[in-house]
Amino acid sequence: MPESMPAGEDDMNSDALLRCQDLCKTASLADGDLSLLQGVSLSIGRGESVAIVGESGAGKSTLLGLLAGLDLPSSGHIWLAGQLLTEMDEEARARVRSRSVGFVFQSFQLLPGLTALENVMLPLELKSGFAGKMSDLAREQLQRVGLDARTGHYPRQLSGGEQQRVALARAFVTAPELLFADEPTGNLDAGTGSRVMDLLFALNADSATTLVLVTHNPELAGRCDRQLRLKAGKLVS
Amino acid sequence: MARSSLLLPAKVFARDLRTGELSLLLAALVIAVASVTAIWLFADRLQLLLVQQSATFLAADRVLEAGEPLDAWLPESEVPGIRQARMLQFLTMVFTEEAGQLASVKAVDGAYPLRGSLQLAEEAFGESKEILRGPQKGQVWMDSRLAASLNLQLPALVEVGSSQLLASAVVIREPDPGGGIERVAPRLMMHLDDVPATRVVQPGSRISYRRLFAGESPALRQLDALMQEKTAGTDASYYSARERVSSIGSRLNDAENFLLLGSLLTVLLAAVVIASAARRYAERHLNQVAVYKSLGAGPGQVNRLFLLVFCLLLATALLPGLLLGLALDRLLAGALGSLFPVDLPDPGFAGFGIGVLTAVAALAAFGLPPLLSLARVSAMNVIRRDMQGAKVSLRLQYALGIAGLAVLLLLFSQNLLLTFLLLVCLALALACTTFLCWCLLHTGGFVRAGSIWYLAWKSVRGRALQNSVQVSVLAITIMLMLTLLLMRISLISGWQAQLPDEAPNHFLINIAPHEVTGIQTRLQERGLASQALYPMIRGRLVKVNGQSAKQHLETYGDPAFPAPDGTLSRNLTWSETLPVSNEVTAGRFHFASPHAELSAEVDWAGRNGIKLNDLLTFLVHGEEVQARVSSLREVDWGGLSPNFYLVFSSGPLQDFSATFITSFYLPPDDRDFLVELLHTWPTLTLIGVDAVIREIQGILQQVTLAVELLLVLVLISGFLVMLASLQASLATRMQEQALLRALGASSRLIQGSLLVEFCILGLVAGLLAAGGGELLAFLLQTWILRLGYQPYPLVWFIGIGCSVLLFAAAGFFATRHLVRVPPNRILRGDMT
Repeated sequence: MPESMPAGEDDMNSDALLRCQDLCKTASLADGDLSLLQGVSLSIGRGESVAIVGESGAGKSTLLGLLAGLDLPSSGHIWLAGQLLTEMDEEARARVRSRSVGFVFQSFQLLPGLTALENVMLPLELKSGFAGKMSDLAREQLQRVGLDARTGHYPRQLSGGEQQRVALARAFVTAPELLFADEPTGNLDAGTGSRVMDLLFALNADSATTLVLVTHNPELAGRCDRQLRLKAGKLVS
Repeated sequence: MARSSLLLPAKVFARDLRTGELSLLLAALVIAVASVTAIWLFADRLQLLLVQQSATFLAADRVLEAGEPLDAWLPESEVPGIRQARMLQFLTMVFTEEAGQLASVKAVDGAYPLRGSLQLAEEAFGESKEILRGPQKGQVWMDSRLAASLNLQLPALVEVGSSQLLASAVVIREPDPGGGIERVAPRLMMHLDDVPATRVVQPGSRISYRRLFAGESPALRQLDALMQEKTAGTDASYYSARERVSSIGSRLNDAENFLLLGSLLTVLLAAVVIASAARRYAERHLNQVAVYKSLGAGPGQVNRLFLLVFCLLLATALLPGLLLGLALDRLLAGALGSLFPVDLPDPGFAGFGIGVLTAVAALAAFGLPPLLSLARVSAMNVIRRDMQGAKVSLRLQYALGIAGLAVLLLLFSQNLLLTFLLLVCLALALACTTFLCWCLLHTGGFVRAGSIWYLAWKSVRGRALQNSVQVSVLAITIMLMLTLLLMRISLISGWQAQLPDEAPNHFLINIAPHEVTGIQTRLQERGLASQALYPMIRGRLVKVNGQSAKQHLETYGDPAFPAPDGTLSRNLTWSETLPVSNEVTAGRFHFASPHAELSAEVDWAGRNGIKLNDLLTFLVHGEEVQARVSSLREVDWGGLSPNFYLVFSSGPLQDFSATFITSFYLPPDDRDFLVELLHTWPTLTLIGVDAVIREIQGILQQVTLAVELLLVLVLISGFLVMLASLQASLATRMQEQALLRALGASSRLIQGSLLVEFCILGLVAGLLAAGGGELLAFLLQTWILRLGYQPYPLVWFIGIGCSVLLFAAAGFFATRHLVRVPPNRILRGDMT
């Protein structure tokens, strides 16, 4: 098995930060196997923003999880920042995520027992070898999302939009190369969703981060450089 | 790396402590450490007290005894920390001007008694006061029997051998009354330095030489090692109170077993609280761990993180736990100290070590499994938004928990059988609970939708697994409490049955055949209930199945009991009825058999290699008497009835002249009757054991008190288990009730359904607890404490009633505020 990106690929692939080949994922159910993804191959370049769209159950979140190394495919290969994710054990994949990946989730996934500042500091605390001043970095990120006055507030004391802005600050605090966003506006009303969207793309542009997002929202998908459509586990465009 | 890897656990710990996530676990751990430490410290005090009290039966901690001067066995140099006293015992005649009486003389030096005290009076059976030393030179003290039989008014001169000594006091109670042959004659106590002048001790005299020792445990251990080596295989015997006073020794062992059992149950309950709280902690961190993992934490980092959090938790719990344990022990000792006749001794430090060990072991065995399963949580859970399949593995928790429990129980009890029994009952309880919950799942379809019963049934069914765990936990807790209650009832009633209020307190021996009728009539006239009169005759075993007894013993005897010639001589009796408190264990008792048969005490038979149908030959008054062993008996030596190793059928011995023995109960205020008896039949020997009985009853009272205290401590632990268990299911209940209320269910409907649900769970837990408790008590009573099983149907009512009541009250109390909180607050997650 190749351990890094194979030589001799086309020009686009040579600049790819994330690439997968013949990705399949099946789930075992009581009445037989269910195919979630079938032969998905794609390549995403550095600095690119890509939206994965499709109907519910098409396999969008499954693909996002595989690309981020949260799960392993049944077959196929994934390369992230030149490293073959599918050959790594869970510890190694966690190290890659810690170094290169940020996340934004539909349900924010802030820890309820932590303040906004502590939630933003969390990825730095988990990052082995991090030696900087965590609270300063976290405050800086909260300032970028306009929540510098709410650092001591707990998630339950923040609105949905504010919680997602804290989540954005948490995602960008480690300056990741690649940001995965799973329905980032799915739990927000149109107005708030639009403001969070603006913030996401502004931060993305500012940090030159590669963005992969899963969404139902055509407006959000339309703001990305590229859209990939999934249908019944297959990439159709 | 090092800085951040230590910083994060500290932060997580501080945050979880601040947000209350660790509160239950911390409280469980503190209470576990406190209760185990308190029980061990207090039990240590009681054990020290019991040992000290029982030592007063010897007037020392250890005794060395032989039929010749003790120089050969005594340590060459003094053992540091050991005090000694010298004693001689022998039988001799004591005379006044008018009368003479055989007396059992105890000659002691100035150091006697090393433990306990004497009670002295100015006249026979008179009011006594406590004295802490023996008689001075030139003086003798005598017991009431001797003073009465000599018709002596104190002070008076008496002759002992060639000496004339001043009888100055009556001994009402001595710390080492002894038993057996030394109490055949009444007591005379004198100073050791007066013995040579009496010229009673001559070469060949039958003298018992004794050296008494007392000291603290480490010095005694050193002495034990030295003396056991010196006396092994010789005619000298070295013993402690425990070995010597069999009745007290077996009660001490019972009490120790009970204290041990109490500690084991506390450990078990602590383990249940910790397991329940750790499981809740882990379940509430599933999502957090999924987030950690999505942010780049690997399984190893998650494991290290939570291991360090638990280490911090352990460190935080230990100090308050140990201090609380110490305070609780002091509180108990302070509050109950006045109930004890003497000051409670200070406990050793072992209790603290046990507290620490329990916390470490319980946290490792019960806290870690759910925690370590967190590392297996899939990071995909943050995307999937359903946490199905991310539950803490129950199988893993049970497997590791039971293994840990076995190790803990074995460590505490060092008794494989006890550990095995407790584990079997635990496994049975778990299996039964699971089965009953499965049954519940498949019933209840008859209830009407929308009713209180319907909602309750849906809740029981919908939470089958969680309910099964909760019911198991509570059933086991109640089962353990019931077991303790049953043990308490049976221990105490067992002891009381052995020593009822009117247990015989006087023995009459040396009754000549022509005196039997007169004495029986006199006892009946005074309305005194006496035991049967048994003939008694001395005989010596000389042959077994035609082979010489000595050879037989060398071949078949138990090498652990080398038998000097003296042990082959026994008091023999004959009877056509089985003596009370005797039980035939093999063969058939001879009753009125015309053949020459005998019934042997089972332990004596075992020690001497005697079996059923062996033909034994005894030498009685110079003549050989033969009888075949037709039954073996177990004898309760703790009772106060006349007992014999060998009971013959009436044929072989009835032509020999024998004396008779009986025992009877005399109320304490009827002492004049004793004087009258001895005046009417001066050759009678009267032995009073009421002082011994009072001593035994005093010890039993202390043990009973200890038993009741333990029950209270275990009950407190049990209540905490119940709270922890209910707390664990509170979050999901909140969510469900909020949803039901949002959908329009009334508060009354929800509260009613909760009450019914808790009652159903309480009923199941109570049934299991009563059944399991009864079984556990049966196994413990039969195999461990050997008390004999007795069922107590009331326990079923108590078990089920208390379980339903506690479940309903605690559940209703814990959830009552839920209906007052606006449902949207709960549904938004503000209340979880």
